[in-house]
Amino acid sequence: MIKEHEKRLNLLKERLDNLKEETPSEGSKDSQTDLAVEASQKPIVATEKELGQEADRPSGPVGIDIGTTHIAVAQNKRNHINLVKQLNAFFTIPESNFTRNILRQNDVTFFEQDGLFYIIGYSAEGFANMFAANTRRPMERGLLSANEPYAIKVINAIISTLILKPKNFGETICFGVPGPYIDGTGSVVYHESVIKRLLSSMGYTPVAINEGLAVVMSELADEAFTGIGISMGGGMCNVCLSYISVPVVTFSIQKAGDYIDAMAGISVGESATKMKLIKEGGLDLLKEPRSRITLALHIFYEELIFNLVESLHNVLSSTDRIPKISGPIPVVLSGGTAIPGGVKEKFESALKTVRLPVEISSVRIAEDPLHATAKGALIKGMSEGE
Amino acid sequence: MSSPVIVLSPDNIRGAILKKILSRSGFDVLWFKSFYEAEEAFKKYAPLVVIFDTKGLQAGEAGLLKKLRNNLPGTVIIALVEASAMPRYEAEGPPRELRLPEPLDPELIVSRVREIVSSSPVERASDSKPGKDTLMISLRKFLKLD
Repeated sequence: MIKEHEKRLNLLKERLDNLKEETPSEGSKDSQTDLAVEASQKPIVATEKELGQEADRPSGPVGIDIGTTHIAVAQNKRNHINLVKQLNAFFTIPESNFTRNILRQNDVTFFEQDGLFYIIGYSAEGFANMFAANTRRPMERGLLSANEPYAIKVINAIISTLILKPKNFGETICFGVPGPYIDGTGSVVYHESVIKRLLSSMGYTPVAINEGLAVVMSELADEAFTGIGISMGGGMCNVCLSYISVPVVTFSIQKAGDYIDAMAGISVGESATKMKLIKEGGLDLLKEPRSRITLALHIFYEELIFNLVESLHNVLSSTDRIPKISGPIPVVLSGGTAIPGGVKEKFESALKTVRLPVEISSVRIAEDPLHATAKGALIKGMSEGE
Repeated sequence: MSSPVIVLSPDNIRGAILKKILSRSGFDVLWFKSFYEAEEAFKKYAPLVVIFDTKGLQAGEAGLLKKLRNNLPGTVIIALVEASAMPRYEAEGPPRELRLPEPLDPELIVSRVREIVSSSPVERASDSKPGKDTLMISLRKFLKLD
């Protein structure tokens, strides 16, 4: 008899639990966190912004990665994370009525400024190729470029190709920001404040997240968001040691993919653009280099990785902020510079040369290295209020 | 809200860690960065446990611990004190076993809080103890299983 009741009781409890799952109490702390953890398990479906494709009007939290080369916007969908990206670049051509009509007819996104058409996003790449010139970037080394007077306007225009005002005024948008540099001058304060103002003016509530922490949020849900996230981008590498999603230590170095291209190019008398193409065309650091070009790329890749690990060692060893962590923690590498074969193994080898104050369980590459920051920003945005 | 654990920490990271780990362990937590900010909460809730983080406090602020003890006689105060600052707090604070030295050990703090809460007569009598399945208890009563 008692067993019968117990069984009924458990069934009732199960049904109540299911009911709770179906109708999460809006805004409740637990449901927000649960949804965020659930979102971190979803795969990313990424697309490049197409010509003429309308910008989205988000109806929930948004994650945005404003990187040196791309701007990517992530939104939570039923079975996946939807990510749309746009090239963070522009190209200018002289203003004329004829050109204006042509651009409009072809759905090219542009704005007019000081007698010039500023063509933005992927379209800029096409125009640059047509004129055998390079695109220009509104960002440099992970931050707003000091050399481009209309950098803010360009970024604003590029973001507007991806998202419009939100359906609900004040919707959360979480954007990635670099950590403090340990090897350069300047500050991220200006960059962060400008982006915040820009997103506020679009009707969002902006929340900043360190880029390294965004990697942790994207990849380490199963480890209770505890570990080291490293975003290896074009302009800089961002590092965050996170304990249950609290960014305990954050820093950045202003050396990353662009540095490898530039230094390897100088060493062998080739352009950085060519080195980048070779690097992205299937470089494998575990294979013996067959030419002096790949040799140069290997050398500067290894230098960057050693530099990064040395910085990690120096920063972690000199802080008293790290709490006692009961077990070893993982390291996740993300970003375009982490993609070539052998980066994980080279990082592991470099780690063996230092003694960190925390034990490392494993080194791994993010599931989708190019988009982990935007996904992590979305997850943070979804769990805001926690 | 049942009697919350109050965290008093001027440090953004340590305060955030303590708040998060205690929340995850099922406790209601209020985190304040200064004694002044926390005073209202002390009056309102008469907390069972206060975690007093002394990291970042000036030497002259050691007296805050004494003030806390006087204002909250029924509250257990866990003081987080660096070994080098321990003598400063020797004369002021609660019993030695509730002074936790560095580095910050969040799991140890949670286990201490859990011990304190579970040994409290008020909490023992209450159904709102963290981790207790109130739904199961209500249903058990309803079905007269107990």
